[in-house]
Amino acid sequence: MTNLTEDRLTRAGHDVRRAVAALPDAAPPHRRRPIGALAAAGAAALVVILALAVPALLRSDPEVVGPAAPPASPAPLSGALVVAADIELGDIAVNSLVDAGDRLVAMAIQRRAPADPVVLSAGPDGREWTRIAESFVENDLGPQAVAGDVHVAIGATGGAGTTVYRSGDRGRSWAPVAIPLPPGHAQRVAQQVFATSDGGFVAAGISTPTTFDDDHQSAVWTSPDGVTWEPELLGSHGPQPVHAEGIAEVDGRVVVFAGGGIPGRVFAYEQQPGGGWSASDLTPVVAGQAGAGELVNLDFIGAAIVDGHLQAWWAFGVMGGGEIVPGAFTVRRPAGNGPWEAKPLTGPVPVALAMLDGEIIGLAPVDPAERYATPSGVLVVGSHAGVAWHELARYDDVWLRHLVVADGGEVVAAGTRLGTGEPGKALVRVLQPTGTVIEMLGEEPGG
Amino acid sequence: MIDQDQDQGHDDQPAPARAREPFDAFFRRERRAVVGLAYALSGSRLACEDLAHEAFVAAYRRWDEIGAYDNPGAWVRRVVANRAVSAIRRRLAEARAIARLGLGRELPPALPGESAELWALVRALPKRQAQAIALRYVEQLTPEEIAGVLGISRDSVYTHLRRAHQALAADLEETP
Repeated sequence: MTNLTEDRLTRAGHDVRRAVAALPDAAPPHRRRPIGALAAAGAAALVVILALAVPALLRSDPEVVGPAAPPASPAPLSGALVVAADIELGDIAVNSLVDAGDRLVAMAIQRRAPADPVVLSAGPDGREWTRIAESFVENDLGPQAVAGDVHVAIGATGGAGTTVYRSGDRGRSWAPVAIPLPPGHAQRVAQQVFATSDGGFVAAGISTPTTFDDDHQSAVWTSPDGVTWEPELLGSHGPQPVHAEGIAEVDGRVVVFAGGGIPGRVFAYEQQPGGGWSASDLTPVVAGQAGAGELVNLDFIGAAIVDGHLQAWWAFGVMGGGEIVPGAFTVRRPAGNGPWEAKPLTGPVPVALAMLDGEIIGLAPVDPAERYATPSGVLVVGSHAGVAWHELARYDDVWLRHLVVADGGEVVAAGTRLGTGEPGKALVRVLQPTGTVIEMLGEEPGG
Repeated sequence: MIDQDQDQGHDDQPAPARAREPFDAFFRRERRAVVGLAYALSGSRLACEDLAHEAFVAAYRRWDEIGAYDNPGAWVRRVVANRAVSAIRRRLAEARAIARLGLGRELPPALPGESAELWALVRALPKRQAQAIALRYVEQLTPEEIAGVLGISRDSVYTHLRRAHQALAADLEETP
């Protein structure tokens, strides 16, 4: 080391400290005015600081086909979902929870150092959990998909892109799998993975021709077994990436929902029967619901098949007239490949979704401002046609973020127990419905 | 529905063992330093504050957990250090920052020419070397503290710093 280098680095460090010392004070992200929260916190903080304040102008559109939105019921229906069991999972944090048919599988990380992944499995009733793998890789694994005995999970991103891990023995042992770069590309990021009905997998994300390229392209990788993967580019989005947010399957065809950028854009990429993918730009459909203005941030909630129609839910803000108005919408494509429709949501805006008795239910924070923070509790909400959401049950002692409905009809949610004075330990709460969603809501579909 | 922050390198921390500081106080104390780290490593006046805010938002979402770490600031710094050297993350932050410019947002001043050139050389180093240099000279951390932030051994930090110095010295000698 030379004195010259040391001196210049010392001065350069000082110059940086002096530059940021000149910055004005700023409010913490969660205390910012909506416009600040939007811009600063990106897709995160924004949407929901005022999520329930969806203005009247967003509430109806006579041109939208589909069941009319009944008014949101303010009255909770106590006992509609009875707490059947609480299972402590220990000092871990659950990243994802999936229904693997004959079992439930949770991907978690250890809270202690090293924060290695932990895989847990339970029977379909979600009552008895077993750690089946842990500390098998120094990586944080999140999105996962299961097809039969094969698991695929997405790990952290670095270098030329994401590392994907595969298990062929029901999650007991894992190995990294190379997901190829699209031809001529230098970097790829897998963001979502999905198990298809034929036992294969689809991963979706972003790919760029060079590491520092401004051309972000949506991409998918398809695999029959989680071992070999085939890349395919879906569309170019220039300097602002459009992130893969969710994957669904309808009529044997995979649909990738993607969104992001400023102004926000929403796309649905659909696998075609003869090969290739079609792109639907849903931005005008969604923006049309909000009136004049731009989508300024997007938060994907989930996708599901409701009454045979593919439906996806988003929360986002709409910028117009110098203000940002938070809102939440569902987009639906009627069976038979009809045009996409959009409809604003009413009632609590969910953060996680699952199907129960053919109806969609979700988890929502008690306080919508806590959507991205640490909620003080959770609502279980149900909805007719995924549009008007109603409170079914309220639990103030837990923070639940992951939801599945087991084959036996039990609602299994994973999260954290609150109020213990410690950073919460992972908890699975099994909920027993006392009736159908329709009975709980007390209304007929479309009523 | 699943948090997609895949490159945070988080949680490599001692088990939570102390009372949590309120997030607001933590944010006010640490913000400028973390923005400075992002500034040095990204080289972007536009993106640095958004990169820092992304990290603080991530911490806020999990403050029950992060706030109980012995050094939650190290966690935030690791998130920023990783994101600031990611091309995709930087581009995304810049895009958001551009959208905010019309809102009267204030940017940090440009660095003097010599410093700006030196940080450009630092950013051209291998990622770990650049992170170690920024933590050493912007944050003024010791090698032990840098090891804690980056989740690597102290010996590795010394190696990264030594190699970075050698590379920078060679670069600077080429500069008249």
